[in-house]
Amino acid sequence: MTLTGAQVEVPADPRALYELSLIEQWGDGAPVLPPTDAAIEALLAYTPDPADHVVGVLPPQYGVATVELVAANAAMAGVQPEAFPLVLAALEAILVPEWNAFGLTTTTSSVFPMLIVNGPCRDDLGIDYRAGCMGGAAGRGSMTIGRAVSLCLRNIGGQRAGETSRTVFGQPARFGMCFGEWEERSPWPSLAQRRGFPTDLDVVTVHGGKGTFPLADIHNDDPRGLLFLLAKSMAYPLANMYLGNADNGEVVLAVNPMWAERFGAAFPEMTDLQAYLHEHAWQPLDLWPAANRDILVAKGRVGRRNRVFLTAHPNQIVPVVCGGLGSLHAVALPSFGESAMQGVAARTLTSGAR
Amino acid sequence: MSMDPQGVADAVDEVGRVLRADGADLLLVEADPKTLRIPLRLRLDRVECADCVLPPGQLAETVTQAIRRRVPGEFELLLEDPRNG
Amino acid sequence: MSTVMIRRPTAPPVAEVAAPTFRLDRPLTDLRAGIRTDAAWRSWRLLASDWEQRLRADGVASVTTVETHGQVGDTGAADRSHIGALAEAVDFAIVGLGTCGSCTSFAIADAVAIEQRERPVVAVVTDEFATHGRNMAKHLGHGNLSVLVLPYPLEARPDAELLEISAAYYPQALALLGVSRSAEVGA
Repeated sequence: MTLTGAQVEVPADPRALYELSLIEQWGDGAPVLPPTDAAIEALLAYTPDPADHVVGVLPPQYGVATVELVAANAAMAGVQPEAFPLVLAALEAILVPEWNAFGLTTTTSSVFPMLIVNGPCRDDLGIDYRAGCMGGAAGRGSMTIGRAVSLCLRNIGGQRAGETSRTVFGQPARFGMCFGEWEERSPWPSLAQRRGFPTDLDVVTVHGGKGTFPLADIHNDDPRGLLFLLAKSMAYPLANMYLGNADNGEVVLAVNPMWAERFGAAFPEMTDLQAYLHEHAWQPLDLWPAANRDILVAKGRVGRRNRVFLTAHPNQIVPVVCGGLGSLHAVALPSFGESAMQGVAARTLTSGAR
Repeated sequence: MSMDPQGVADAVDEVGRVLRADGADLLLVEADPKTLRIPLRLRLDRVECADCVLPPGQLAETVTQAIRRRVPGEFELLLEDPRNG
Repeated sequence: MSTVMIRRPTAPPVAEVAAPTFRLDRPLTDLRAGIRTDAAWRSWRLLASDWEQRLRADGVASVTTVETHGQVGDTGAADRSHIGALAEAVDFAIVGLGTCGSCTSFAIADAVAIEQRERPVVAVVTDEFATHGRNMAKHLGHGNLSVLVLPYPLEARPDAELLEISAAYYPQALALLGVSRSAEVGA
């Protein structure tokens, strides 16, 4: 296998390499592993795409992302070779024009790709989908796949906060966010199934999420009462989705398995659950001060009875079952708005050998 | 972290041995590492005094602790106890 | 010190190619003007409305305004299509407003789309996003795109203040478009 990337001689000592990565701005501030030829080739062995295949051109600086260059960044992140196809799938999803990488890599918003994984690979690759799935479970896949994508956006696309990215705060997901759906505890078809993928495929769905918005209730056992509160909470007044077009963007609602069971009994069909959430995901116009009200009216966001709905359609609210068995909590992943969630199936060379 | 079905089975058997002394038994229906659900069934058909067996809440807690000593991580215990009606 | 060979993880720098820019080099008389506004920014709508009146007073034949509403979806696609149509229907254009990260990116992209059709165009951004705007123009291959920089913040200023800014910066917009002196019929 012939690799063509520029070679650099670096210290073998891990600490010295870390210091060099900070000086060269190759990393994200955390230690990295050396992208040696052996490490890169081990990753390349699991994808049918050749090393010089162009995955795409990453904004904002339009760096050309070859499979080899992606592998170098995945090696730095510590991606397990079998997981490399998921990194490629995530980047392919990001590069779909409707995901709007052009806008999302430069915005003042905190938005960043959030990877949601479905399929048989979750356990083998350490994709966390149970307790601590959004941080704390420390599965190798969850910690490294998202990080690899983040490093690619930085090192290939040139997305750097304070420079090419105008993000005011950033968010923890900029280190990398990758979690799975607990499909076996979901009363509904999985996210990937709902998006048209067969259940035997490993699918990465990339959501342009602004952060993790924690929601808790310890009092209400009624599923409709709980869902009402979740809907109202997601429709918080400074949600990005009020700033633009109501038709664009999705908000992900991560539901713990205990609540999912309860919601599933009340709403066996996902479309009915989404309709119920959408029905209540609004705020009254007079919640906002006058200056904001005028803008909402001018943008045509005010519906009947002076209600301002978070989304135009129920299917823009996307429930996903994950998290631990402690119940009591859900997490909303608010949307940037001007971005459409994208899912891509990972293509893996099963033999692991070219 | 995957649930070890054998560890669950050993824990259930440990509690079952105690119950069998009173003529009851505890059956492990399934230990599913995918869903983390552990359905159990309490059998009381040979027991003369059902109330003499560990009360339902206490029984569930005893089984839970026995499993936790052997199996790390979360799980959901589903105990079918005929005394609960 | 022992060493190891690695492959550089960064993409090679993209060759900087600056597409040509275009200037009017003539008065405004009888020209067809285009203005792109953004539904997100009330302030820019007010300035654009003021500039439309000034352009008419300065003798343009027509002013066509396109307002953008989205970046993706049907709305985004329609907006990009409208920008293309605008470029074909006018002799020059003023494109705004870049006053956030993504809206600056899209304002620049729309200005570039017009410049690609060989029309003089000026992109309008606010000070906080000037560097970002110029960088985006460069990354899109139009590093010489004319950029007019307005004060920041702009949006929450009262109308009276916005109209003062409008009056002050209108001549600069004309200068960047290459309008020749005889067209400047007072500010």
